[in-house]
Amino acid sequence: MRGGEDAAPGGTGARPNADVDDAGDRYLVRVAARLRMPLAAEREVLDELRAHLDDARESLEAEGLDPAQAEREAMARLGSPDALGDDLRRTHQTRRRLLAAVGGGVWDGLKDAITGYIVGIIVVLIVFVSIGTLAQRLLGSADLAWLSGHAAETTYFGLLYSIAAWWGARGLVRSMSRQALRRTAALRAPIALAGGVPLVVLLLIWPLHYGWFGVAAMLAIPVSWIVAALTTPEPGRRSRWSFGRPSPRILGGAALLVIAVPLALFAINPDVQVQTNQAGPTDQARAAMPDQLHWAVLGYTVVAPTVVDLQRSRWDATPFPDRYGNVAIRLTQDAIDWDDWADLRVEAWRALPSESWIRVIDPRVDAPYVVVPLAAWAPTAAVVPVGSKPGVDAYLLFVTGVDRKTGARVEIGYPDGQEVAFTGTIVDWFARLGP
Amino acid sequence: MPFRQIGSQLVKGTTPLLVLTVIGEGELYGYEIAQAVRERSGGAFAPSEGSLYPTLHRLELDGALAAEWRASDRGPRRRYYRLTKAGRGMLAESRTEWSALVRAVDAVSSGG
Repeated sequence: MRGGEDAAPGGTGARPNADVDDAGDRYLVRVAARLRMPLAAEREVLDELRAHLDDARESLEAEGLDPAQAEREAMARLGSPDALGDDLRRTHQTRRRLLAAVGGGVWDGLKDAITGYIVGIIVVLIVFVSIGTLAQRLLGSADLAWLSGHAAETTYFGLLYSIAAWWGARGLVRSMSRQALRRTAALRAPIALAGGVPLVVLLLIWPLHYGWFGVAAMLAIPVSWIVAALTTPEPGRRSRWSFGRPSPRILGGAALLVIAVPLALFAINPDVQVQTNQAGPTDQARAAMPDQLHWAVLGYTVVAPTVVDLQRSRWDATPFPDRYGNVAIRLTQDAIDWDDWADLRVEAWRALPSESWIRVIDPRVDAPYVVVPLAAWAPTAAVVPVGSKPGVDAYLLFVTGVDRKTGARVEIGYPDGQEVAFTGTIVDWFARLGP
Repeated sequence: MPFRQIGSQLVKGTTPLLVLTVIGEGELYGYEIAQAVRERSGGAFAPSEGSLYPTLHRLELDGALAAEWRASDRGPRRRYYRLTKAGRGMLAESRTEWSALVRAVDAVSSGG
């Protein structure tokens, strides 16, 4: 009803005189302009004042005044509409009420954020599982590394939290508006700021495993909060930004979709596998690695089980580089006769990205990009600076030594083959993008 | 001074007492409250009726009044107010304060 946007303010009583109604409506419009309350609360106040004006006018008409005079007198008795609106606003919009609304609003926002988180799980599952399986179905051996691995977890949670942030911000603004009897317009910017700034700060100091998708998804969290808060409509008004609370029917349909789509896709192609990328030492996978040919060309000797018992020697490695780009490796099951080997070292090779744990050395490289010597007296552990450069895809680690009998360099261990999941903050990510 | 209007500042201070007193005798809506005050004061209290609604809403927020919308046979729906238990306590307290004030003002103004 503000500024004549809506229908005539106030109640539904019979008002036979149009001029009189116009005057009364103009009076109430001015009151409403000073009230600055949510539409529902505003309507209650204006209905009460409308009824008062109607009663007063009827009474004055009964005393002999003509309708226009009666209306003017009725309004005069109510006093200045600006003063009345200000008085009523001050009565309802107290600081105490605002503080109480903060508490209630945070609780409601939290509940809505949890709802958003659940909706997010459904949406993200549809995105990851459905698109992933569909892409594998359509593209066969397409590179789907972005769907798996540590960096992908950041993407997954970034999307989830973005949706939760949207719901939470909307819930907080709506709830505070309702409880503090303030229009959402008065609360949007403070709430966008109050939530957006801590989220940005948290993002700047929180080290995670990033890929490009993860960076975008995590940046989307504060953006989602701020946009949601700034575009929260007044209750009772539709907005193109308003999605409303999903009905149980929609939630049920989405859940059904999540179950049905992957099942349908798996039914079409039972060979499809959605797997997370947990690279590690597997001798079965190792036996099939085509990079052995590449190595042979480069003059390395492929290790045979008769030389080194790979089945019984196992290396363990931290699953991804730390924020300084280091990976620690350790021999956990030692079946190697160290006296047979000289010049022991760990080599890091660039590898091609793959969603599979069977990684392949990048065919464009002919040398390791990192070499870490192993001490002859303690060859069972090392820290390898594989680097943590944004956008660099994968590496393979090998422990090699020179066979004292033949003089050839031989691979004697395969600690890890991993995507380079960038670990650090978003600031680190952008800071290290340079050369 | 039955037909002389009382100063607006003085009226404003006494509005809650007048409103509580009138509503204490039965449920009323805004216009009826204003009329009752006007008639019972013999027109002496003819304040800006605008101050009535902030007072009513404040008393409601304080828990002294409870309000309820009811449909009307003629015209728009109306918001009826009734006194709560807390409101009765507030009314008794206000009366006591008012009596003390009147006595004090009398004592000063009569020179004694």
